Amino acid sequence: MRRIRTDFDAIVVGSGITGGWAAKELTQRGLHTLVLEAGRPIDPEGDAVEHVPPWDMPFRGLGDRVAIESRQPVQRHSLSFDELSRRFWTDDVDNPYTTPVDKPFHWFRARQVGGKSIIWGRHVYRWSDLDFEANLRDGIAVDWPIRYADLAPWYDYVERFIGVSGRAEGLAHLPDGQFQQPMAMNCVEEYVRDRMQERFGRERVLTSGRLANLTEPLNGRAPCHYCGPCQRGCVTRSYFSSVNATLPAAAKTGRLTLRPYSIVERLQHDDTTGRVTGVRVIDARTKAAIEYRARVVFLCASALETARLLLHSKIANSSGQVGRNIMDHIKHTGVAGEIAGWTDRHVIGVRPGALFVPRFRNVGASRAPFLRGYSFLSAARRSEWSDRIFERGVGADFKRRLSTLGPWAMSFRGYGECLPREENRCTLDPVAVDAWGIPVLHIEADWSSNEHALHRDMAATAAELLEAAGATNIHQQTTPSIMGDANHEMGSARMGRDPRTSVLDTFNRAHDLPNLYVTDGACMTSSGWQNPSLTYMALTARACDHAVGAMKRGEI
Amino acid sequence: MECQPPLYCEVGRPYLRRKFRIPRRIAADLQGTEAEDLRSCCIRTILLMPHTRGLMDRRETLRTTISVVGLLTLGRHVHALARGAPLRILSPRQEAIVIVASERIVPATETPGAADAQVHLFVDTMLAEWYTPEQRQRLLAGLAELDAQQFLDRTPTEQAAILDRFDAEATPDHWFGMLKYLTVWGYYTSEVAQTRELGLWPLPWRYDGNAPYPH
Repeated sequence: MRRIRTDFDAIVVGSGITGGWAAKELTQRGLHTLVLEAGRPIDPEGDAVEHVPPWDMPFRGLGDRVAIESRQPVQRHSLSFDELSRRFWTDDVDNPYTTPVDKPFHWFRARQVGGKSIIWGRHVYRWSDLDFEANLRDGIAVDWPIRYADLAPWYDYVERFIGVSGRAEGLAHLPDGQFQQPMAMNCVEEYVRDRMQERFGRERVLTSGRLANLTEPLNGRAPCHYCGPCQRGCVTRSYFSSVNATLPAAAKTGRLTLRPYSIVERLQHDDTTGRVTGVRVIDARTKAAIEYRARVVFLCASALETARLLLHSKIANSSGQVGRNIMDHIKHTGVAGEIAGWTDRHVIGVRPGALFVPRFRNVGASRAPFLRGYSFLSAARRSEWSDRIFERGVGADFKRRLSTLGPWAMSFRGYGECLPREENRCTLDPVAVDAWGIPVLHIEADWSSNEHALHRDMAATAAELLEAAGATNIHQQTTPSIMGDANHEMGSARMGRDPRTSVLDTFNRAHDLPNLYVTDGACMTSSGWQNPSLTYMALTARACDHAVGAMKRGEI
Repeated sequence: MECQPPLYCEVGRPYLRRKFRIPRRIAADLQGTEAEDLRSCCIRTILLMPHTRGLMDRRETLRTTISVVGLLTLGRHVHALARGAPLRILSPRQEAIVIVASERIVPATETPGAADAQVHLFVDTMLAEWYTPEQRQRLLAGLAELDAQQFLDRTPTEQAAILDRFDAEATPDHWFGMLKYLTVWGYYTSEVAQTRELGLWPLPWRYDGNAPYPH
């Protein structure tokens, strides 16, 4: 029997969007790396089910209601949760958490190789110094220890590998990157873009979404073929995920060991040296405990899991900031209006992402009665049979009406920045444990008045955009999202310069433990108004470079 | 316990079963350094494509033939249509009512209708596994209400008129609202509707945001 290896150069906890990057960077830089994934292995070609037609689904896309309501009552609220993609979310019964009754929080979680990178939204936007300087400028929380110049080369590096389709717009607060051809707009979207430009010039821009979906071949991955449901996987590896790109690259080095079904229960550390020594793992199937040792540990377990792990291990928390400052983006579920005309045109294929309106509030000369700003995702589509299912009628005429596409509608969905506040925090629940006996989180977080002000403003400005486009019959959904709904939870172990007020230093290394790095969403000092994953990836690559350098210099 | 090998790069096996049909021009882009496995797998898929297509077409032809025969007998003996598919909730008589009622809601025109799309099988699945017992009883009671009006013995015009009266007063929670919802959903997600009524399948493998309509 082969001896089981338990000593590694590096351990990466989590195989999602940042864990995959840590695995790739560390192995390519020569480290024998163990990646621990709590969930099951994934075979992209077997588990990718994006081409299963609706008639082959038992519930025709409506989902197994009984199973979902009993096992996934939280996960089902995620935007990309569906009858087939539900396999990529966790079981809420095995993985519980608690909240106060009056402060619900939706914690979307994924336990499988690839984590949430299989089901993410794939919009990737750079931050700028408008964001990195925001806390300092507003006197809120702590200042970011980095600026755009620190991250710019790493944005380049990450974008070249993941493949980003997008359009350069030359906006200072949304820096352009390494783009493949942008995805096309449809005829009505182009019209709305032009009307917006007439009315608002370069102040409010409608641009193609910057998507981690290929439009050109890259490293053996094919361009997107516009089938639609990316959240079910991708057999041509056209969108970036750990299983589609980073983990295969790491495996190719021969230095990767991936262990699925490995729930990290706690980090081990040595008080005398002040170092992390390894991790204690519980096998998800046998519940047997195993210990692994390494010179450096990367936490890429997702923002709240990382906080849970640090709290349970009672380390890296001399600042008392672990678990605090939880943020998400406040969502506006949509403002939509009808656009007359183009009834002789329709769309063939499904574009894998929406258009994007970059932030225009509190940018340049704009001054709004709140801090920070928001973006819009936007798209135009024709209404179809499912929009008219409750219309009156039976028979041939009814069928003809349903089978015919209806008028075009343009919609805008807002995503607003959330301020970091200490009182938005998670702690270990004193009573509840998960299916493996590990204490679960008690999450207590809610929007502040600033987020509510952003949210109200979104509705007003989206209506202005629609009016500029000559839309009629404008509909609004005005309920704020529940915190967590944007799937952008972050901030629970923030970066900062001062060990007394932050958990991580300028290279994502724990102030308290020089061989522990945290590069998932926990590290975020503010939330920005953009989708955060690109920044997580760039920070991860940068931190890996730093860790390998520190090991070479003998610091670790 | 042994560390598991990286299982995520296993490829290939289930292509045929899952009907992945990758066009040649897409597969050509998969030439690359990091996906030798994927490339060989895609080439294999292309070789299998005509075979897959043949199977699909034969199966569909067979199904259509059976359905046309079924439609000719629409009326009293309609449940012969579905022989061979065991139902879990609907009795033969209830099944016949559902087949006829769904066909009156979404009838065959120049394209097939709800009976041809076998919507009653979907209705049975939903009643067995999706709805609550209370909802199931509500819909079955509605079918009994139709039966009490000798629904199956009426002419197609009379049947449509009966359903139209229920439709005028039905809310989504009403049994007829449920039946209509299931009919419309079941029809438009069926193979005949997705391919022939809506033209969504086979997948276009491209994006055109300014295509002529109607197709």
